[in-house]
Amino acid sequence: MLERAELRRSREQWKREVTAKCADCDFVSQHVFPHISPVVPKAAPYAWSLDIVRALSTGRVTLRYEISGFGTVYGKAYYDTCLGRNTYELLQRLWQNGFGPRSQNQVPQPLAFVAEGNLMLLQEVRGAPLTGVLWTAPLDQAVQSMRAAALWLARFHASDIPGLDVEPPCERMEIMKVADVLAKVAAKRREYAPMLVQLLRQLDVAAEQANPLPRLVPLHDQYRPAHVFVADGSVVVIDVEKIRLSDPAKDVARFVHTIKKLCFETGGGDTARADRLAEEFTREYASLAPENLENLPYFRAAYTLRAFAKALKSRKVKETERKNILECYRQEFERCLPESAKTLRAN
Amino acid sequence: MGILETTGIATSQPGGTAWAAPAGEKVSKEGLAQKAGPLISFEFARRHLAPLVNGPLSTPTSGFHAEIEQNTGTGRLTLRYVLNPETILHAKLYTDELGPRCYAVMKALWEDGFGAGSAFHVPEPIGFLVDYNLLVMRQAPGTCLAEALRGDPFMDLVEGSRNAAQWLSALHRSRLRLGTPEAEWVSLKLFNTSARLIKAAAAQPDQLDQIRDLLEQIEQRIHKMPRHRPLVQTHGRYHHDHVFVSSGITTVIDLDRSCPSDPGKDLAEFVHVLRLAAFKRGLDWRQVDDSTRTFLREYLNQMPEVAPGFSCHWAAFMFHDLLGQLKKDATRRKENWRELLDFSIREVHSALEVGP
Repeated sequence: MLERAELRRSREQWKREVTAKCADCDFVSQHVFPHISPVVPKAAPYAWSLDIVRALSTGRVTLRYEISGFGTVYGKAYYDTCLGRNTYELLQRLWQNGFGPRSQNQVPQPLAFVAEGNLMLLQEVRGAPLTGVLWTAPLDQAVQSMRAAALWLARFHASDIPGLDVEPPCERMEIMKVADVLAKVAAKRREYAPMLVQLLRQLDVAAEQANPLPRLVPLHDQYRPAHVFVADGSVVVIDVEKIRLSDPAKDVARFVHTIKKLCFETGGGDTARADRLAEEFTREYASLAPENLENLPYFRAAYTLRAFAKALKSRKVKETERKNILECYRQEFERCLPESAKTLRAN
Repeated sequence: MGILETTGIATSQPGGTAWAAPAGEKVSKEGLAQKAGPLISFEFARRHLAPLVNGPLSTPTSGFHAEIEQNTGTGRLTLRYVLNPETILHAKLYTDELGPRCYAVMKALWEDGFGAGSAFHVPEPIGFLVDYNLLVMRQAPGTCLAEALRGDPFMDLVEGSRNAAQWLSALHRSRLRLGTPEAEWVSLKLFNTSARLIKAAAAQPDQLDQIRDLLEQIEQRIHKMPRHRPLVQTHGRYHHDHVFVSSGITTVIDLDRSCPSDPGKDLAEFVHVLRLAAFKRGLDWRQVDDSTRTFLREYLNQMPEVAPGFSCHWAAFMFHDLLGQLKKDATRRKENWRELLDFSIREVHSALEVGP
């Protein structure tokens, strides 16, 4: 196994190499142009540009090719040697089975997989991500978008995708991911350790009350407003690459949590609106698949606890706002807990 | 007080008090000892215990004796009664809901392969006194395996470990399923480990990267566990000091935490606790390795499918132990802290080296 620091270095190196390769003229002519629609004539030299849309330390780089007069293609390069091809094949399967052009609920159209760069090419998605309507659009429009996002997710959870891996129970519960973040905070600010242990104990009580054997469905695992595009009555959801069979409540919890997080940390603090949008999303989903929400409180609590811990030490949070953000998360965490876990705090 | 013949659970009498603490409330060691005071009286034994065994009761001057045998602050306390020279009982006083459940498990096991006529026993459950939250059982015969660690020449660690493996494999092959199946993250103690992880990170921030690297290795090991593993009736606290060996019979006590779970958990707990105790006592390590090998070989010959669950639980439990050492600040460290820390690190790596 690569040690943590070594893995970090290896990914950084890969990122430099892959972005250089994807910007290479020959590579673009040979592997990208053929997939631009309408097709770019081979002979002529064309003006094109490449933007790095996203290149975090996750082992994935998102690129955008624009060829003047022809169109835009998105590329996603993968550090993991299998993930790119698997994702491409998965998207193809979804595109051809209920999430394609004839449906109102779609995934991006997969165009090609370029083995040489471990690069998947995707058609540009129309519309804007839901993050754009959360706080600024008229409330009615935002509510409709929430319902549309819930419908997409319920349909996705009901879909039958053969051959998916099952997310193991311990990973499904996210315990170690939460613990990892809490440990990092405790290492920097040891005075927070007793409080973090106490909150973790409360989460443990919530886990005791969760159903350990939930119904397993295809899980998007990154279901956030930023990944949901709404345009002309259609919903297109991107970042479909971590699909496994798991607890559907996780996707619902993540979406709701992200709305709250955006509100607490960047949305101007309109908590009433955030609550309403989260409620509309959850209610719509519950009307379609109520049996999937048994463990929603647990996962909402788990995601909230992780965000709370991150906010304790995040440099992105202004000191003047930190106290308020932390209090919002504390209240949200309390709301998600069962009564028995709240008693634990009182003791 | 009436005795229900079919269950052995003593019924509540008018005005009786259920001795269970309110949910979530902890009873202190001292508080529990105080509660146990009236229970070691001759009068209590005469009224409540003698009818359970239908035997003669010696008087306090002719051999009756009762005492608190163990009170370690777990919220449960063990009493020992000598009713007459032939009748020695143990009773466990509970402050939670574990008592009736443990009684039901013991009774079911005693009647289904772990009682008279078998080479593998649980202590014979005599009754459960609801009013006192008190589980009464006969004394387990034989010598405790823990005596081997204390140098008892009549208790051989390797042979005793073999007996322990045979008893455990008999339990795991039992058809009984009593209690709610345990979730994987509970059997692996992941929440407890996470709490220790936070404390260890706070106590040793400079070790954070190494701790997280180990955490990641444990995670990967858990990830590699086969998805379809056996789910059996487990003991729940399978330690060497719960195993009693007499000629031809092995008896195992303390089934408070028995439930359907991954059998690898019991194996890992036995190996981890035995080796740690042996290390602390400075035993000859070849003998400890021998007893570990004998225990595992004897068990896995019968149930080889448990091996992946064992290695994963062993690694997780040793990591839990390691964090327990790391979280101690300088004022709470014992003299042998460094040695224990090194031992835990070695054992985590040994466990991780065992194939999934």
